[in-house]
Amino acid sequence: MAGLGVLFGIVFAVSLLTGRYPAPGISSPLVLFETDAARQIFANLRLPRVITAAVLGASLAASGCTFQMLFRNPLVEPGFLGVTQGAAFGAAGAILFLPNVPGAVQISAVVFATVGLFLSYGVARRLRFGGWVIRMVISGIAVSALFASGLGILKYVADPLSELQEMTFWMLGGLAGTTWATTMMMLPLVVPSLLILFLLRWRLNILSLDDLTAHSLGTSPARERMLLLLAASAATAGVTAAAGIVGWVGLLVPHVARRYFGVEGNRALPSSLLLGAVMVLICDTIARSLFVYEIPLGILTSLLGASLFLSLLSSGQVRFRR
Amino acid sequence: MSALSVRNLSYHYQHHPELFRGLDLEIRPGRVTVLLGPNGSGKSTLLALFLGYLVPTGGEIEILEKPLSSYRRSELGRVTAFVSQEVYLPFNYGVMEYCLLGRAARVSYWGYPDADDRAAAEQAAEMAGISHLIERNIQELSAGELQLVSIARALTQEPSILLLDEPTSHLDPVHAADVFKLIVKLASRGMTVLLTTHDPLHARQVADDAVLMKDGAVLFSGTAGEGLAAENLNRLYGAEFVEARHRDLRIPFIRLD
Repeated sequence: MAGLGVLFGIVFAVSLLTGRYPAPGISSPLVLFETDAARQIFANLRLPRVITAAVLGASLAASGCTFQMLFRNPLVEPGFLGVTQGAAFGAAGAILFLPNVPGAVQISAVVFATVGLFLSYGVARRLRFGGWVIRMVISGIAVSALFASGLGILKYVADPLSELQEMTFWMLGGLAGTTWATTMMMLPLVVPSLLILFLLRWRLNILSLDDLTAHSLGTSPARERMLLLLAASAATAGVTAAAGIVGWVGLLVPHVARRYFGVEGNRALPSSLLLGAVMVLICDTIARSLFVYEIPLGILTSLLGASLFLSLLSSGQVRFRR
Repeated sequence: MSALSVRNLSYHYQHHPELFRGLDLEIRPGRVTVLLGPNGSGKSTLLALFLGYLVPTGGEIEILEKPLSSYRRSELGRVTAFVSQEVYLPFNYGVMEYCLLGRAARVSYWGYPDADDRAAAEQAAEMAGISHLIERNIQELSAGELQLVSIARALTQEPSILLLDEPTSHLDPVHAADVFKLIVKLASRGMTVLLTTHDPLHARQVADDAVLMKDGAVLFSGTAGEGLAAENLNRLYGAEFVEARHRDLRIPFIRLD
């Protein structure tokens, strides 16, 4: 785990030194502070972007780890309770109806991500069959589908030359245009949520047992699960609002973390947090420095995530109950 | 003195007819009590009620002479422990990590287990006879080993009362015998053990007391010797039990011819 901390430190530092200014590739710190323009770019563009990338990766991976343990299923990811599709719908709505309002896209994404979560939870509570996992999964799928169709309508009526392009680019996920304002808007929601997940990392193990057993250990599974679900979804909503849909981090990173650092929450959660940050930092650094034009971050995380996941699957490291 | 007592208990699941009405029952401390009954007679529901997981629609349950409703959740987790019929863990925990989950009621909400908790888990593992498995992972274990490890996890709670739901239903006879030997050992050290089972033969071997349940009512409650006699089992299951003798043990079974 200490090695992972060091790796994170190195990747963070290299990301700060990498970019297309003053020259493409890694620059010496001395060069970065040589001119006023270089200093400005470093302090106002690169630093907030690298911090946001690290927080984005840490949040998605920690939330994914939490969701997989709470749902006792290694195939769920943090956005599936209507959170991601809700955020996408909210962002598209703001692009369409509130153009040129600063922060509208982010705020609308958080609001609709929260609506998605509560709608999924509310529907699940009203279902009268199955255990709570199956109820949450079914209602999450239905609510996500509802938002996806709403999003389809918004895309259909959007101006294909301006609004539709903006929506599509947002869906692809990315940190282009990140400023301190983006970072600061995300942190109040994300930091307390991550703190809750981190502090309750041992109790996550108990909630990965069946409900009756968790209860018999002297805990209140329903209440504790609600708190953790809220925290994980809030962290996801916060970073999705800032960066759009960045796929595969929440699904893949916890698998890698469990494989190399242990399945127990005490180790799986902190290692997911750091590995998620490392993965997104690497992908975002490539996204912004490989070509003159940015590659959408979501494309790179999906490419890397899906490739790694396939190699994990073929190595027999992901177990499912038949 | 009773370890568990039930007075005038009634319970029904939502949108279902009443399962128990006016149920009275006493479980004596430091003894092994078996709960026998056909499928659907309410055995597992009764265990869930004892654990406070389900809330009675009427009547009262007392744990160690104190109303169940007056226990705080964590306090209850230090008095009663439970092992389910089948253990499914989605992730490949280490045996020690799994046993340590039994400390949930003793570890602070935001904390995690310390050296004392680890010592308690090691002691429980030794009691359950699984010390040699402590370095292994859960998914490497056989069903019988996993059941013993689950009992060790429950013993890590240091409970006075241990509830087991059909602890041997998935086990071969040798592993089942290991589990039953452990149950007898625990009771001999003063623990109250209440288990459900479908196997009158094993029940006859381990139990001090027996409770026979049918259609949500108690058909018999008393010593195992009396309760598990063929005539009582016939009333319970509506079947034709006969008895074979081995030394002083009378073994109930159903003839197939």
